[in-house]
Amino acid sequence: MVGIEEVRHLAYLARISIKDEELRLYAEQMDEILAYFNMLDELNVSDDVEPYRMCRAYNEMRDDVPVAFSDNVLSNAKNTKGRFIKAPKMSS
Amino acid sequence: MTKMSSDARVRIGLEIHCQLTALRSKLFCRCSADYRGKEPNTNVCPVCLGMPGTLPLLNRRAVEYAIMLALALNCKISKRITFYRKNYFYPDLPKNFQITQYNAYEHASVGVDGSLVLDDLNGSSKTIRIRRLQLEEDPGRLAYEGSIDTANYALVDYNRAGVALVEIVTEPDFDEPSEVRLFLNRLASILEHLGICNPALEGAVRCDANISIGEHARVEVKNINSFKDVERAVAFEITRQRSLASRGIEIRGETRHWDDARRITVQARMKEEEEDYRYFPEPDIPSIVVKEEDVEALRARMPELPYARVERFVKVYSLSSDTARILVNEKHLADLFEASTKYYDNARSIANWIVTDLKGYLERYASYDRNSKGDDGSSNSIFAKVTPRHIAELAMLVDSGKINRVTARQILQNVVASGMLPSAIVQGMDADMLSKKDELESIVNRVIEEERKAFMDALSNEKALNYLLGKVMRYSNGRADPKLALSMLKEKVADKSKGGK
Amino acid sequence: MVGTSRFALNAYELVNEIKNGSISVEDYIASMFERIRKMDERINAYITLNEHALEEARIVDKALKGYTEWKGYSNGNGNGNSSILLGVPLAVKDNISTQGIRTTCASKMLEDYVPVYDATVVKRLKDAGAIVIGKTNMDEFGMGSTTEFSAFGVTHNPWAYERVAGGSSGGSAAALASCMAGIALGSDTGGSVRCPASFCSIYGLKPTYGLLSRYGLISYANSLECIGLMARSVLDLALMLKVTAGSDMQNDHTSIDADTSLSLDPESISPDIKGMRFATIREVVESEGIDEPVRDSMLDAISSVEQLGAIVEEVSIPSLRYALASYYTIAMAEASSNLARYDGIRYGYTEEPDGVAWNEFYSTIRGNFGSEVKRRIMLGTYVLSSGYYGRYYMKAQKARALIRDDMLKVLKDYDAIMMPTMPILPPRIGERVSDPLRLYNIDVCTVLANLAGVPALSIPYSMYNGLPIGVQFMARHLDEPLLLRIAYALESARCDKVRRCII
Ligand SMILES: [Mg+2]
Ligand SMILES: [Zn+2]
Repeated sequence: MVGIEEVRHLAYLARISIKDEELRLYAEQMDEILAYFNMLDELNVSDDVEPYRMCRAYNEMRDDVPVAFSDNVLSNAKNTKGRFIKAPKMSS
Repeated sequence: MTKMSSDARVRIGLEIHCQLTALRSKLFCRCSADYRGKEPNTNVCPVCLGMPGTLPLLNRRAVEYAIMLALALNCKISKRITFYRKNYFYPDLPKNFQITQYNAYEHASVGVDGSLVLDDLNGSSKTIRIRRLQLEEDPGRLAYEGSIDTANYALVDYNRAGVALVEIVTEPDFDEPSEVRLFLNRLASILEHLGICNPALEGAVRCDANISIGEHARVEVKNINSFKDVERAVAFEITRQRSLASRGIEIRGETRHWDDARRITVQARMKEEEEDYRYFPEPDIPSIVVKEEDVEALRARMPELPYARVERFVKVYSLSSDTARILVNEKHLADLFEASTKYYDNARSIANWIVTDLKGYLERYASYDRNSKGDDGSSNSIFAKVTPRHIAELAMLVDSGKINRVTARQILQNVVASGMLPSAIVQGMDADMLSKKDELESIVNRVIEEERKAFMDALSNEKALNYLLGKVMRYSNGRADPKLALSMLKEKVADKSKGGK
Repeated sequence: MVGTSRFALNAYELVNEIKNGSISVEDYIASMFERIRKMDERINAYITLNEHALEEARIVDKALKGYTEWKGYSNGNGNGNSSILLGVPLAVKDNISTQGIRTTCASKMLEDYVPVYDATVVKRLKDAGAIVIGKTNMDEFGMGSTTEFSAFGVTHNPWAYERVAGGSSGGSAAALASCMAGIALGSDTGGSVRCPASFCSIYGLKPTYGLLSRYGLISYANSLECIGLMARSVLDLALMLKVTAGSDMQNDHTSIDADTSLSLDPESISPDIKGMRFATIREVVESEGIDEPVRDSMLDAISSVEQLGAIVEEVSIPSLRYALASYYTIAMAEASSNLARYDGIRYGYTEEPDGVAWNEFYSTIRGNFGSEVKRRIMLGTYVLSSGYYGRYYMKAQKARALIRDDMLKVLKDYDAIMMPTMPILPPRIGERVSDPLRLYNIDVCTVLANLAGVPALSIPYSMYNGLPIGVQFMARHLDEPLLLRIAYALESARCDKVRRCII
C-alpha cells in the first residue's frame, strides 16, 4: 500500500511539488498500478535467468580524440551571470 | 551507550577520486579533458551538458587506463564492465544523475578485490585492501559571489563536467594517519608511473576519509584537497573522536568537511531528507566484455611499476632499498636519477646526492607538496633548470674532492637560479676565490683573534685545529677552500710556536 | 499538376513530379502551409511550423534547375541517398531534436527550448532532400496512447474529430492522414507509432531496436524506444528506411550496422507472400479486451493473407501475461531518471533562482510537468528505490528476457507474428484519460515488439463505421524487408478498400 507519506517522500526524491489535495488521488492511482505490477512477483523466474540487456552491440567505444563543439550550447540558458549559469544555492 | 576506552582501535578507510588527466577528451563526449584555466562554460557540448536527446559515448582509452590502474592495484578485472546511473539532484550535475558503476547486483566495476602493500613502514609491512575501482564522470563546479554564506545563488561552470574519474575505495585497513599519507604517496607514484594522472594538478586527486574508533559510528570527512591535509584531517578526527569517547559523549555517524584554513573538521550541512540513489544499469552504454587476452595485452603495455623499479634499482645500481624507494616514490626523482647515471657512472653517489641534497633542497625551498592546492608543482620549474647533467656534474665534483657538499648545495641554488652547469659555476668560484685570497686571510685572522683560547690549544691539539677550520668555513659561508684554509691555519700555528718560543 | 489531390500524392510520386519539373518545391511547400493553416485549427497536429521551410524549398528548386549541385542543405555528406526524398514535406514528432526549430516534447517544461543540433535521423532525411515542415503534437514526453496528455491541446482524429488520433505520435499520424505532410517521424516506446498509425489509417513502422540512431530522440525509456517511420504507402516507408537506417557510431553506441542484412530497394519489394508462415497468439486472440469490430477485422486479415498464399497458425505464449507489467515498470524506471534533467537551470521552463532554496526551486520548476508525467516519474522512482529494485525492476527485466526468448522461439518457426495493432477502436476524446490503468491496457498488443526489440509494422486494413482499424506484424530482428513485403502484398490486394488520406 502506498500511503500519503510515501507519495510525499517520492515527490521529494523526484523533486516534484504536489499539492496536498492531490496526494490522495496520486496515492490511490499509484496503489492500483503497483497492485497490477505485483503480478511480476508471482512470476517464477529462477535466479539464473539473466535480466534483459538491451545491448547487442558489445564493446562499442570511441577513440580518445577531442573535438570542440563550436555552437553556443548554452543559448537556451536564461539565468546567467557573465559566462556562468545561475542556479539555486544549497540550503544551509 | 557504553563508554569506550579512548585507546580503542582506530579504523580508517579512503575513497579517492583520480582524474585521468592524460586523456585528451572527456569520458562520455569529445570535449577536451583539459578544462583548467578556461572561460566558464566554454568547454562543453550537448552531451556533457545533458541536452535532451544526447547519448553518452564511452572513451576507450579511459577504460584501458582504468584497467591498467586496477591491475597495478592487484584488482580482479570484471568480465563484464557495466555502467550504472546514480540518481540525485545537484546543480553541478547536468543530467541530475551521475554515470558511474555499481557492484550490488553484479561485479560491474572495472576492478574489485585489490590490494596495495605498504612495505616500508619502519621495517614492517602492511597490506591495504582495495574494495573496488570504478570509472565515473566528474561533475561541474560551483562558485559563489562573495562567500557561500552571503551569496543568494550559485554560479555553475560545467567545463569539468564529464571528465573521467577513477574512484578507488579501500577497506578500513589503516590504523594510523601516517599510513594514509604513505598509501597516497604510493598511489601517486603508481599514477605517475602509469602516466595516466598527474597528481600535481589542482583537483586531479581528491580524497574522502572515513574514520571510526572501536564500535562507535563511522564519520566521513570530505573536501580534503591535498595529501598533507588528508593526514592532518584524519589525525584531527581521531583526536576529536577520542576526546568525545573518553568523555562518554556519543559520536554521531555523520559527514564532516575539512576546513583547510582552520585545520579542523566541521559538520556538513544536514540533508533535509535522506537520499536514495536508485542505481540502475545505464541503458545507453553497451557493456564491455573483457576477455582474458585483452587484459593480458594491456598488462603487456603497462610501463614499469614502482615496486619493480625499486627492485631493479637495488639490483642494477646497488642502491639500498630505502634509497631506491625514496627515489621511486616520486617518479621525477627516479627519472632524474636514471638519466644522470648516463653522464657519470657512480649510481650510488648520484642517488645519495638526489636523496639527501636535492630532495631536501626541494622540500625546504619549494615548500614542496605534490598535491598542494593551486600548485602546479613549483618543483616543476626547478626541474626545468636542473637536468641530469647538472646532477651528474655535482656528484662528480664532490666525489673528486673539487668541492665540498656545502659548496655543492650552494651551487645547486645557483643552478636553479641560472641554469648554468656546475662545472662552469665552480670555475667562476675558483677565480673568485683566487682574487679574494686576501679575504680568506682576513677571515683566518679574525677567527684567530676571536678564538684565542682554541688557537693556543691548537699548538698542541689537532682537534682544536678542526674547530678553527669549522669557524673559518662558517664565516666564509662555506666558500673557503677547506684545504687552503687548513694549510693557512697550520702555517699560523707553526709561526706562533716558532715566534712564541 | 493542380488541385487538392496533389497533397495526397505518395512521397515517391511527389519526388517524380518535382524532378520532372511539374511541381515547384517552393509552391508546393507554400500551399502545404496554406492547407495546414486551414485544416489544423480543427485537428491540432502541429505544435510548431518550420519558419525556414520556404527558404529550404528554394535551395532545392535551385539545385533542380541546375544552378547548384544538391549536397543536402543541412551540409551533410548525403550518405549515397541524396535527393531520393527531394522536396518531400516531413512532419517531425516534437520529441525529436531539430536544430533551430523549437522542440517541446509537448511539455511546458520545454515550451521555448530550441535545440542546437539535429537528430541523426532528421539530418539523414534532410540530406536526402526532405523538408521539415513542422513539429507534431504528442503526449507529453511520449507518455500516453491518445495525444490527450499534451501541454498544447488534444490532437483530433481526422477521420472523426471527436475521437483521439492515438498516441503518442498522434500529431504525425493525423498530419499524414489529413495530407498536411508527405512523410512523418514518430517515436515508438510501447506502440506510439503503431497506435496512431492504426487509428489514422496510415503505415507505422517501429524498426529493430538500434537500426535507427536514437541520437536526438529525447529519451523517455531508452531501452525500449525507437524513432519510428510513418507514411501513406509502403514504398514511401521503404524510401524512408533506406535513408535513415544504419549505425551512427559518431553519436549512438547502441545503434547497429545492418548494411548487409537489409536490401530495401523499393523496386525489389515483391508483393509475393506465398508460403510465408504467420503465427497468431492465443493469449491475444482470446483476450477479453479486444473489441468485436477489431476481432472481425483481424479474422478478415487472416483470410486475406491466406488467400495470398500464406499459412496462419495459432500459438501460445503464456509469458505475454506479464508484458504490460514488465513494460510499464521498465519504462517508468527509465523515465524517472531521464526526466531528472529538466530542472530549469540550463534550458527549458525556469524561474529566477535568486534567494530560492535549492530543493524548493527544483520542486517548483518540476511541478510544471503534466499529471501523467508526474505519475510515471513517481512510480519509476518507487520501483527503483532501495528495497523495491529486486521486486519490481529486476523482476521486470527478467520477465522481459523470458518474453523476448519466447517470441524469438515463435519467430524461429514462423516468418512473422500477426495481431491487431490496437485492441479497440479510436476512443472518444476524454473517454480513457481519467483511468490510468485502463489506458495502459490498450498497449497490450504493441509493447511486445519493444520488449523484444524486434521490428513491427502497423498496416491500415479496414474501416468500421468510418473508423480505421489496423493489423500488425512483428518479425525477427532486422527483418524489416519481410514486413515491407507483407504490407506491400496487402496494399496491392486491397488498394480499393482502404483509404489512407482525407482530401
Ligand atoms: Mg564517486
Ligand atoms: Zn562535452
